[in-house]
Formats: sequence, C-alpha cells, structure tokens
Amino acid sequence: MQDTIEPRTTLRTLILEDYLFTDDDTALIDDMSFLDEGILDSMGILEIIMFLEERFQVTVAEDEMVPQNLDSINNLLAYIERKKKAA
Amino acid sequence: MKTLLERLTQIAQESPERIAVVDKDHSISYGELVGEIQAFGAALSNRCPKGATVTLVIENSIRYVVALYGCWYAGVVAVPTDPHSREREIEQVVVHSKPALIVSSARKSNALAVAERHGIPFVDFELAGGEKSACAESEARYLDDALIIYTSGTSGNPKGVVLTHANLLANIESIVEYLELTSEDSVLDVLPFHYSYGNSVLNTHLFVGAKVVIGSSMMYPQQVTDELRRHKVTGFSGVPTTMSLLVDRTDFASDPPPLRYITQAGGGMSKDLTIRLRESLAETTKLFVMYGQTEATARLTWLPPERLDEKLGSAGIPIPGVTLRIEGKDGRTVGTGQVGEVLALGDNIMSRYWGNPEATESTVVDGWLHTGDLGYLDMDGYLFIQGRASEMVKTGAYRVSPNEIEELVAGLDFIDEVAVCGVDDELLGQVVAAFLVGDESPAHAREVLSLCRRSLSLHKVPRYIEWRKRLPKTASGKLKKHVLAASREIRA
Repeated sequence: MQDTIEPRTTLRTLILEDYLFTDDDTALIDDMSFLDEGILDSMGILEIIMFLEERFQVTVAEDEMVPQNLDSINNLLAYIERKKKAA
Repeated sequence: MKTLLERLTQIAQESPERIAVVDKDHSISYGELVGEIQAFGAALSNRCPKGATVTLVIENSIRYVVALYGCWYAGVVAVPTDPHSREREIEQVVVHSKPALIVSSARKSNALAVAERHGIPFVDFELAGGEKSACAESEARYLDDALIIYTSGTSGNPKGVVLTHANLLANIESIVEYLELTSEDSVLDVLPFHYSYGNSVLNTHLFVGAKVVIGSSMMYPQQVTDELRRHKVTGFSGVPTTMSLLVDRTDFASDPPPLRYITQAGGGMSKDLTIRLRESLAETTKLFVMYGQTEATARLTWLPPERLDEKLGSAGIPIPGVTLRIEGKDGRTVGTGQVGEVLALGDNIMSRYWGNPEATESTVVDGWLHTGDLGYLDMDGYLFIQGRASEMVKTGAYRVSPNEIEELVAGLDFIDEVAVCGVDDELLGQVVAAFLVGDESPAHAREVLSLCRRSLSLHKVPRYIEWRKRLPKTASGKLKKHVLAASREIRA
C-alpha cells in the first residue's frame, strides 16, 4: 500500500517516538547526525534499514550502509529518493 | 621500571618519523605525538597538582591520545568518560572523582554544563596546548595511579577502577608477548578508548611502536571492512557484536583482508559465530579469543589460535604473569571440571576502586580478584566461563550496572518497584530490560523510556519494558532476576 504520509514526517515520527521517546518536535533537526548525537546505535540502524525496506520497499545493499545514505533524516530522504529513481 | 610514556618517548627518539596514530585524513608520527603530549602535559601541570584527577570527555581521536598521555606526563590521573554520556552520567563521575579539570571540547555541551555547575575549570582541548614546558620530564612514576575507569555510575555504589602505571605495563607486556606484536603491526581500532578493551588495544600497539588506525563506528560496518582493506592493517579487535556485524552485514568474507591477527573479547562469543568468523578469515589470519575485565586492566586469559577447534567455547589459558583458581562457595579451591567463581592473581589486578574501600575489600581479597564470573578449568587448565555471579549486563562493547537504571526509574512517582536485568539478544549478546510495578499505562511506559533517553547513554536505555503485578523474590526478599530475564514477554 502506498504511504500517504510524507516520508519526512514518517521518518521524523519514527525517530522521535521510538528512539528519542519524545513528542517535542524540536528535539530532532533534519541534518542532525544519528551517530554523532548518539541517537542510534548498531541495532538502531539495522531497525531503520528494516523500516526502510518494509515501508518504502527499498532494498539496502551492504555497501549502501554508509552515513552518507543513513545518518540523518535528510540523508535518509535523499537516499530513498535516489533508490526510487533508480528502480 | 619505565612507564608507558617513557617507552613512548624512547620510540619517538629512536624512530621519530614512524607513524603512531591515523585518524581519518590525519596522521601523527611518534616524534610529533610525544611533542604534543609534552606541550599538553606541561599545560596541565601548570593548572593542577601532581596526583590530581582530570576528566577526559573526548571521542577516539589523536586528541584523545595526546590528552591521555599528557595526563601521565603531568603526573595526574586520567578519568576517561564516554563522550556520548548524558549530563547526569558525567556529573556522577565528576562528583565522585572530584577532578581538578575537565578536558573536552566546548562542543560537548554536557561536559561544559557540568564543569560550570560544579565550578570546575574546563579546558577546551581545541584551544589548549602550546604552553612552555614546566617539567623537563614525565612526572609519572611506576607505582602511581594512571587511570580511573568507571564501570558503574550509581550514586550509592560507584565503581571507578583505579589502574596504576604498573598495572597497565604488566598487562601490556603479557598481551604483546602472546599476540607477538611488533613495530611492523598496525591495528584498526573501533573500540572506545575510554573502556578497558579499547584502552588496551591503544596502549599495547603504541608500546611496540606499531600504528593505530582509528576506525569508523560499527554502526556502519561496511565502512570498517573498507577501512581494513584500505589501510592494509595487520590486526583488528572487537567484541562479539563487532564480529557478527562484520561477517553478516558486510562483504568481509567474500574478500577477507590479509590480517595477521584478529582478537575478540568483551563477552563470550557463541560457538556458531566463532566458527563462522574463523571460516571467513584469510588463511594467514589468527583468531585470538580472549577474556578479562576492567578490574584486571583488561586481559586475564587467551586461547592459543591453534587450539581453537579443540577447545571451542573456552576462554583459554592465563596470560603470562596471571594465575587463576576456581573457588567454591565454601571459599576453597575446587577441582578440575567443577564450577565456581573465577579468581585471578597478577600484577595487572587493579589497585582499588576509587573512594570505595568496601567494594575493594570484597572484590580483591589477599591480592586475588573475585571476577564475579562462574567457570571451570578443564584437565589442561583451559577456562570455560559458565555465567556471571554478578548482575552486570554485557551489551555490545559495554557493561551496564542495573542499579544505575533502577535508581533513576525508581524516582518516578508512579513506579512502586523496578528491576533491571539483561536479556539475551542475537546481535548485542544482551540488552537491558526493565520490569516495572506501579501505575501501569502506555503513557507511563513512555515516560520511563523518555527519562532514560534523556539521562542515560544509549546502550543503557531499556530495549524492553514490561509491567508486572509483582516481582519474583526469594523468601528473604531478594529479587530473582534470572526468573525475570527468562520470563520476558513484551517488547517495548
């Protein structure tokens, strides 16, 4: 089923609710590094990858598991966009 | 006896151009490194007396190495702290260790806030250094305290492991011997330097004049595999989670880097993963399975790679200079094959817990370290760990004290009782689970997680939360945590 909620909102809600446990929208800035800010760890990033695969039908290859693709809301959005175009 | 810094200085005099540390695009030679250490150490000695404690809140970097060894140059005791710590965690360490200075970057606002609140001078590493040398040579002496590593940050029972220069040297010399480390070696380090394993990897390699390459986070494991290939290192070290990510989440096995050695410690690795890792390695790579703990500086035993198959599941034999014995509940040494607590004796055993004589007295008895681990020795003297007598949770590269989380959560007014323990996890070995008794609601569960997220480092935040009507206890009222861990039902 096609997601009707904007991807940015979907991803922000996921990080805020499931990793930062807050509804304070200002707690997450879209170019904030998940690694540098201690928002996600190794397990968290694997969960994000599973989420991308389920929600956005994006298959993340091993060599795509890099910060440039996954380490912030903006990087995730750009990566999803690139994957959709390439599909 | 020489200190580690004196050894480093000697290498710098003999081979000043040799590369000591590589951090992303930057590298520093032994000559340059010692120069920076002396400048920073001199700046420190101008600002705090010999023997004072200094908190370091610095990520793995060349700056960390300069700050650590700079402390030793100035004759002060380094207290390295997780740079991802929350304000509350840094505060607990600071309140207990009473540092003369906090060294960090002003960008680490948590460290800066704690310094300001407690009126402790704050040194922004990025602005420090370059002061004229106040002491012509290292102030540290062999038997002086070198390092305090906190393994538990509870306010009631803080455990800061005090390691002397003699402790560090004893463990380093043993490790160098069995790993056969030389100046030709180079290691990619992904382990945090502020913990004993990462600290050990750093110091053993600098001790022999080898090269330490600071690796990326295992959060992005393919980068690490790429770095192993790009830097052509001879060694790599990790905990079981590191190895699992490397083998299962990267193309490591399809083109294994030509490492000379790979070391694993930080918790038992499953037989299955051990075999898969070994099979993924290049033929020339030796896999060293090891065991130890912070109270032993780092290392207690190693499994000779050629006996890995024969002794699969074993933590190995004592490292040079260490003696082990297994003690039964009656305090007597038990026989071959019988399970008891693992005790260790050697020059690497910690000096004491900082400011906690009660914990020291119960942990180090007549020189013997009570590890809190249960195990047995087979007829060849190989150690097999069978579980832990203590309640510490081992998750990834970290050791977490349940008390610290319980203390925090118990402060919420809707919580009557809380118990925290480790539950099995395929990737991390264990993760933190919290069992709650009180006013049950999804909003309250969320409040618990939110509080933990704000107050604790990420690895301490419970992955599971479960409400209970009551907690299982013994007749004397002691919590039966193993029953809780085995009965987990709901995911947070």
